[in-house]
Amino acid sequence: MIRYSGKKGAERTQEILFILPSIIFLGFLSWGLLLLFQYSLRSYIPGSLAVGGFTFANYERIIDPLYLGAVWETLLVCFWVTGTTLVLGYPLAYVLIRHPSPFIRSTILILTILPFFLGIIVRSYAWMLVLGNRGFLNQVLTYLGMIETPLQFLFRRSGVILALIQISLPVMVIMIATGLAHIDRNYERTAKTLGAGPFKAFFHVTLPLSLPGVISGCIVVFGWTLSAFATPVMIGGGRVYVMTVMVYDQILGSGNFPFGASLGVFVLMVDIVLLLIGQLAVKRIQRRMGR
Amino acid sequence: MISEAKRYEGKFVGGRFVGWLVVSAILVFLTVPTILVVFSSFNPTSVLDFPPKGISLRWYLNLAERPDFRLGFVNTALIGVLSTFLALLTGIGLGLSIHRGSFPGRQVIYAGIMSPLVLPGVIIGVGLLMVASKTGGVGRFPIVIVAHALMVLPFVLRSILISLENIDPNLEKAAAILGANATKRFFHVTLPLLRPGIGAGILFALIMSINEFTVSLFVTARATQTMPVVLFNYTMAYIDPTIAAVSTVYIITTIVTIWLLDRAVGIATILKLEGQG
Repeated sequence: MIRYSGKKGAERTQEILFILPSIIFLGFLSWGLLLLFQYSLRSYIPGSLAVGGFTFANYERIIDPLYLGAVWETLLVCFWVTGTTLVLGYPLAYVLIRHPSPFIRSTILILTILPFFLGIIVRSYAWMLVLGNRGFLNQVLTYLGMIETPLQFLFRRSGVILALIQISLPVMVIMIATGLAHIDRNYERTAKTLGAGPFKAFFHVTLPLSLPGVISGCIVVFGWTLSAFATPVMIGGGRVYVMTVMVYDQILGSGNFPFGASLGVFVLMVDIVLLLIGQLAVKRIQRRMGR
Repeated sequence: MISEAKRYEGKFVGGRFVGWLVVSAILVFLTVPTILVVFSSFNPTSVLDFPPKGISLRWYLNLAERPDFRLGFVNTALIGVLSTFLALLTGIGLGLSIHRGSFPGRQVIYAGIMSPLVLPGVIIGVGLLMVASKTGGVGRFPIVIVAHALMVLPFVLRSILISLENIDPNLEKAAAILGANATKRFFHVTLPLLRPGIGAGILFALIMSINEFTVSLFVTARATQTMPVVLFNYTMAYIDPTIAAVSTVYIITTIVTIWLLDRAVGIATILKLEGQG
């Protein structure tokens, strides 16, 4: 290890030059977050973009049932999406990592990864085609004789949840798969040698060892769903009122920067608390496993 | 390895069948919406009927005729290329510094650069909009390019770091012993060895930039709108398969890029999916 202070002048200049652009970009980001925080503590002057003096009123307003309703709506969507993607994602991740055929592994990888790289607008639009009153799902159900009149999926919480499940599933699969890929398979072999059946080996060895990946997956998907904006707007049509939509309405709709900013800070806090809890949980599990 | 595979094959024929059914159903759920978009873009009417009633290119023609889509396309390309270039320069510099690893505060800078992955896009968008309003640059190109560079930087940095981990440090040492100075070592040894990481970083950055929506919605104005923002505004006003036509172009671009990425560095490596057998 070379100590920083021990470097020659030229090398240090090079180093500063190398990290300077990153610091400039971080400057923009931090400036934005600081302004958000600052605006959230200023009073709103109706009809003007200028803001008034210092106040806590914006945060007190979040307690209003209308806005608390949005918090509840958001959490409900987040829990549904996280839970379902976990249940659907685990088997897919397991096959993706453990299947003996490289062809099947790479096919699953490609099919999973592709939607991940398609933009949120393309994917949300795809769900409008699936869920519309004359959309794919209703046509298939009618064709099969299961329904007579089309079911309403658009502008409903259920539609938004369904779309968000498909949109977040690739992330969950990748996170769980990463966890599974790093398990030393000798543990499972040992368990089987010692007489554990495949189910016992899975539930007592593989599953606990894959928990860090599972927890990271849940945290990331929860965070993603919390941040989701385009899907609730496009599928929910403004009737599934989640927190991000509320921030958008206040900022670009009503031009109430202070209140919008305080809602934004609130979303940010939930996000940060969530990430911290997740990190703590992963660390505790890893310590208990003796790593 | 072979015995392992055989054991896998031999057990629970019934269980395996159910397993296949479940996995296939999940894969269908993942891919069908995308396939529908492609079908819908060639559909002659604006409501997609099953089975489709014919093939038509009218939505692609509509796409070519509308000036807002044309402007969106030009803006997306311009912003994509410029932000990728900026992110690449930034990412290479930071990646090398982190890899050599002894400058103070590198953990903080690394975490900060990676943070757009976990921060809600709406928050970043509002924050940068406020920065723009303080500097008089609302809806102008500079703030949009900065925003895009920030959003793609995590992906660029990861590609660069992965590539650096695969470089044999002895090569640089050998160059140093043979008398090459720091600048020469950088341009003649490190940079050429970094090529796969740079290639992957460029592809990643382009694909993320052309698809970026939430932050763009806040920082762009009519003149700087990128394609996803144009698409969003269009769906708020009309529902017809013109969006499907644009989406199909996006889908094809994405498939090609993924294929190139896989060839450049391997998708599984980027996603840290390669582990112990």
